[in-house]
Amino acid sequence: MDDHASALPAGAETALPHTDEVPATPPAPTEPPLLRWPLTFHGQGSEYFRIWIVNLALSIVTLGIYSAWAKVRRLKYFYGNTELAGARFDYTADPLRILKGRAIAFVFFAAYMALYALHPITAIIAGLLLWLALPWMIVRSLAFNLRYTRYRNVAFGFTGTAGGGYKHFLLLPLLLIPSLGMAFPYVHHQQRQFLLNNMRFGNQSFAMKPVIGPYFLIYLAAMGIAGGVMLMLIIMGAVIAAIGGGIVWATDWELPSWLIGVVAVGGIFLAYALFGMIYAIVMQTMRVALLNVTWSNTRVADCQIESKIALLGYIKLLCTRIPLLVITLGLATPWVVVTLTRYRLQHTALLAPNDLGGFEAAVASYGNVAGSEAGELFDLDLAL
Amino acid sequence: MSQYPVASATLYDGATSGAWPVTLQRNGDTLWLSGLAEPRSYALSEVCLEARLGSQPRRLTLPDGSVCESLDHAGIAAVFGQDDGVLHHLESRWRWVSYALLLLAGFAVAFYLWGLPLLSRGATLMTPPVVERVIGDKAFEHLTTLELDLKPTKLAAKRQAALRQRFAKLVPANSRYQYRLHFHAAPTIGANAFALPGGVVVLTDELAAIATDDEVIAVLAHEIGHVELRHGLRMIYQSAGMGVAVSAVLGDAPSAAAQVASFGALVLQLGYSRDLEREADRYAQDRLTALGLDRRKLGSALAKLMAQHKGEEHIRLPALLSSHPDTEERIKSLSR
Repeated sequence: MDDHASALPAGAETALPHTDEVPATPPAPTEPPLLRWPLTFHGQGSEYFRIWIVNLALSIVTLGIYSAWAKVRRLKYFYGNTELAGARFDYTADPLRILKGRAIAFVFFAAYMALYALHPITAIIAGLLLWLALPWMIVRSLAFNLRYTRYRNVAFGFTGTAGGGYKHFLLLPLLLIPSLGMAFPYVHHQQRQFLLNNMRFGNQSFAMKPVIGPYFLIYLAAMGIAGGVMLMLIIMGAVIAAIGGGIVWATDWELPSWLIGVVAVGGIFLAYALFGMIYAIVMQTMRVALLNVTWSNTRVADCQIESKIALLGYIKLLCTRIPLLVITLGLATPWVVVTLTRYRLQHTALLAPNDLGGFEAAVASYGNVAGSEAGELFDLDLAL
Repeated sequence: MSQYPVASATLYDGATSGAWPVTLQRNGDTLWLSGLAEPRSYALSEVCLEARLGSQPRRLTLPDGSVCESLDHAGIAAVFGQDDGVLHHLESRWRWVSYALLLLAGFAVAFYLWGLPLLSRGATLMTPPVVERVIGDKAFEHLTTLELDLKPTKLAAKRQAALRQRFAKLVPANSRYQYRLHFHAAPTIGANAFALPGGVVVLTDELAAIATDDEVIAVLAHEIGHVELRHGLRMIYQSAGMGVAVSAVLGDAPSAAAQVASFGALVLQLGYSRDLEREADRYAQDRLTALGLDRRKLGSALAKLMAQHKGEEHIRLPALLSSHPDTEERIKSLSR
């Protein structure tokens, strides 16, 4: 009997439920049984903490020069600890090229600031020109970073053109003006689709099915939940303040003025912290929900991506880890990042008809490093 | 050949994503790779072994573009020698990590003490005056409606007009700001005066009642100093700067930048620092001297204010008489 399960490569699971029955007719040859390849993250908080702190210290000591090496080391750590079907990812960009890009971006930024101090109007025009260059930088930085992302010694790539970048990052956002921002989920969706549909692994393209409806739903739900929770907090705060004030008034306590000051300042601080935390949790959860929808509707060649990050579990993690970040003044960042990455990756898998050995490398493409680093300097977070 | 050390690895040839288990073996300066259809050999100087990074697999780049990935750390060390690289050495010793931590702590303190004031001065230089005006106006609206119990002035119209006329002369001719002098009765804060970014200056009836016109003008010159020297903006940037710096490290700079705009009323809660008060004092004295007025009037005004507020517990304002304990010293130096 030819049981495909016994011939499973190590590490794979069958994506279809097992049946003991021998099928009367062999399955249609067009639909081979899919194997499920889960992603595994091997990074550890204390290990990454040491790398992170050495990166930071060396970057400071070298006045930022080392930051290019630090970036490569950080990405190498995360990619190299991500396992799929027995192999690891890798980031192979040359730090020297990143440094060059950073230097160019820094010179531009300094020149812009100097110009602003000397002649603000010229600087505003220059800023406008810089803004016009943003879509180009987005496309370039993506091409650069993907070109140096490898799996099994086969490079990823990005084939999007600058024209596509202008269409999706300059023209499309204009829709936000007449729609008063209501079109944001649509704009975001189109941008994401542009990025994914132009992403490649080897010579195979990624393809994302349109999921405009879910994008709108997720944004609406996030806004509703954030609004509801904040309203609840405001009401709670008002009730507590009223009860406290009532007790003071009824018992006629003589409270020292410093105590009132401490309570008032503490209350304001607590309110700020709570609002900040809720904002962060809602934003992060929304991001993960979008991630689920996006990746679950994305294919590369005959492989289907599966992303089932449990939102409740993720929220629970955020609720404990974000206060940890605040209490440790950010020193817990490495542990938190590793925990969140592990959680996201362990709920992600690839459904493939084979052992992923059949991808062919593409002919070399190139991306400009200056675009990538300028993009980072101006803080464009395009993490998919 | 079995007496030579071996390491197991997986070969990825770079043309496809196929994986081939191989064995690496070293014989002198030659690296042998077996497990494929035919064994291959490379000169050791041509292969490039990547430095260690945590506990992840080692990577070996071969001259033909293929890559070997190996989790066999002991085997790799036996084949290539134990050379983990300087960085891995730093990253795996807690001693070096604690040095790095100390360095970071020192850097954070230095940033707070020197970097932040410098940066806020730079940021202030970069900010167009119109931004200050918006911040100041918002803060003033906030004051009159909520925080301070500012009431319509009861000052005689004649005195108001006289003070306004002298105030207009006090403002430097080439000022970037449009000054607006407000008179208000303020029973809760008493005799006082304060300035907001962008040119809003408030004088309380209570101050006008105890001070002569010359003294009031000296006080107003001090407030103009705060505006001209952009002290409000500098305080805002300094207090917001720490938040922005922390957010930048944590990677959320844009949302932090948006918050800066809402810091308008903060000037009033924080007060100006001692150094900024002194700067404004100096500005006022220079201005009074330039206009041929008595530069000692600011000192006598401050002395009157202090006498008025002695032993009084009121809402602390970053106004003329701020909460610094060294007001007496200030008066002394201003009376010279």
